[in-house]
Amino acid sequence: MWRDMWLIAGMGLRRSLRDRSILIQGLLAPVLIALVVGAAFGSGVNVSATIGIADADRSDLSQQLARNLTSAGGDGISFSTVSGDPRAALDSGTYGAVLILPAGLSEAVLAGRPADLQVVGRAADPLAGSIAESVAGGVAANLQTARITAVAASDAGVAPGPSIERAVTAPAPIRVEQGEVQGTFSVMAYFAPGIAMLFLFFIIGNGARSIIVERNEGTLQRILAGPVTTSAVLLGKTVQVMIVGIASLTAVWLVTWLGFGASWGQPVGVLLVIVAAVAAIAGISLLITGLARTENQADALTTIVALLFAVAGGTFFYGASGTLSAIRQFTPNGQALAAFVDLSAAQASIVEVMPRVLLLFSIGVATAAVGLIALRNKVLT
Amino acid sequence: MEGPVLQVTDLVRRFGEHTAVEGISFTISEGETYGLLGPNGAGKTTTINMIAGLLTPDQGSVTVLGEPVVGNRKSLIGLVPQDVALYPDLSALENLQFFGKLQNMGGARLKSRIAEVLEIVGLADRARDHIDTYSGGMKRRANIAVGLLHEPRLLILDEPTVGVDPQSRNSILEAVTELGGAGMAVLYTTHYMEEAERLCDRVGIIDAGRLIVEGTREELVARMGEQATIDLRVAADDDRISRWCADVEGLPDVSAVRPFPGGVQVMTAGGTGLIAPVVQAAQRHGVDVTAIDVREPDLEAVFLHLTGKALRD
Repeated sequence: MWRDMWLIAGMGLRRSLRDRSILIQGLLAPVLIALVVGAAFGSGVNVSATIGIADADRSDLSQQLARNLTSAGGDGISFSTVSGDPRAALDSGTYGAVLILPAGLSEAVLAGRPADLQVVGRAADPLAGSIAESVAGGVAANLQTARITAVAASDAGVAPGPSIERAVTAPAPIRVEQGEVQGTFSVMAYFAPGIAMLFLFFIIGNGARSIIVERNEGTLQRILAGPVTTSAVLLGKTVQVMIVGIASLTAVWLVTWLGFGASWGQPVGVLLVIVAAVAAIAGISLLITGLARTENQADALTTIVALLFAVAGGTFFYGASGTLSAIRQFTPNGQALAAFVDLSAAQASIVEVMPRVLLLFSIGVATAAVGLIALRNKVLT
Repeated sequence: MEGPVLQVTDLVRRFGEHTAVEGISFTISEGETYGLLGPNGAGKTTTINMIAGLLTPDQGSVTVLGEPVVGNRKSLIGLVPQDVALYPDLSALENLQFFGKLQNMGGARLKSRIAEVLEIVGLADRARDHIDTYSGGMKRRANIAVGLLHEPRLLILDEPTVGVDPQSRNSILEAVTELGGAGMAVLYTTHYMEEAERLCDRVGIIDAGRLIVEGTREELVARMGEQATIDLRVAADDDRISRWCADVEGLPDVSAVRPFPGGVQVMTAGGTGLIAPVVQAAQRHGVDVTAIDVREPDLEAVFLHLTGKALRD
């Protein structure tokens, strides 16, 4: 039986390789999409923005605020003073956004009146606009402190000026620092396997559906008319789709790693997750093929399932919280992506990703078992 | 060799409420070509699938050389399905290599056997071309080559000449004749009566899942007695033809009158002696007879007589 199984798997692989679409879907498309994503973000997330500070108030208070801000920044974010018209400065392209400290700011603060901070940005650089808004929020909090100081000084019959200056320039009582992040999160190492797994549903689905195609074309009956068991045929097809899937995902890994420096984590762990992910997708594809009545129905179901899993599993976007994050845990590609992120960003060990790997294998075995039983009945009738 | 190559005993197969095959039994001996004739839906392919081990009978048994067809004994049968069952994106050579290996062939034996069967079906010079570049006839010949590859004791050919050009058809029929002559048992189903007449040592006629008669061509024709078939081409409106047919049915020795487009078929035990009264009746009803063809009893007539329908219905 094993010899027949390998013969059938080999024939399927030979035909798959001649079908150029598998090279496009299995290697070219995932690598190209990962390249595009990688070109946009590099192999890690790089944020850069230059925020302009326009001081229209020219008071001691506003100048102190501007000095504080321009000496801050870092990690790709910088602040610099804008002289002249803030909008013209924005149009020059030097700044992604400009935070305007308006005329009368100091006076309003000292008098305990509300003061308006303005942020002007460019639609083409929403990131800089968001950063400038956050900074404005920080400044507003600082000014609120100044206002409270002014009111307190006034109530105590003390001149508020020096107190406000101390309040504004004093270091914050609590500093929140970003903790140490181990490793680097590679965008390409996230999106490449995500996209590759989406295409795997189609590639592996094609392989699984070849059982129905061969049944319709009569080659399956011809094989079974010889001394070949149904089990050998079904196992051969399973081996075929597993090899195609593993080869495809491994090729995407090697190209993005060796070609573009996107590390997916330690190789043995990556290979383990690849095999487990392919097993899960292969099982689901066999289940779909076994339950579908026709080839077209199997095709349509594969597309629906693949896209649903892609959306729910985080193929198209990284961050997720709440319900979406919970849903991700129930998708095989979501589990696989989480394992890949664990391996690459958190530099997890094999033992640490093992629960996800075992879950993926369990999904694969359970769905494949039901699918193969259904296919066996289909083949024999 | 003692005993038949194929023994089919009381085969029954049901699909839900429908009984596709009901109690079919026959045998085929070494070197014998057995024709299984029947209209579409008669149960021929179901019978073949049970013989080839692709369908499990609900009842009855199939033995080849005295033993059930299971496991490696399936290699005793070569199946040539009705539709071309080959990988179109592979060459004939690649198809033969694959199916040969599944028959546990390999090495020099497989190589030489592939060369032999390609020669038999006349495709040696196109062996490396993809099947999807072949004509319909060439595909059918390649289909037969795979069935012959492992030198089976029983070759099953399910309507191998459907949609084939005359040259390929002749080539296929010659190959089958040679195989029978070489000692292979052949089970041949066809719609074409002339093929059955030319190839088959014995014929079984199957209708509605039952084998209604079997025997040699001579034995079957003898069942028809001295009946001849007179085909008359006529020109008249349908009313006149209907009245004329009713008149002819009343003539002595006429066993059946069947109109067909542009003419009427009369079956008679009266031989050519009946031509004159039939033509006279036509004149009486204003029907112009434009051509007359008298045929001696043949398998077509036997089939029509037994099933009440033409083979290609």
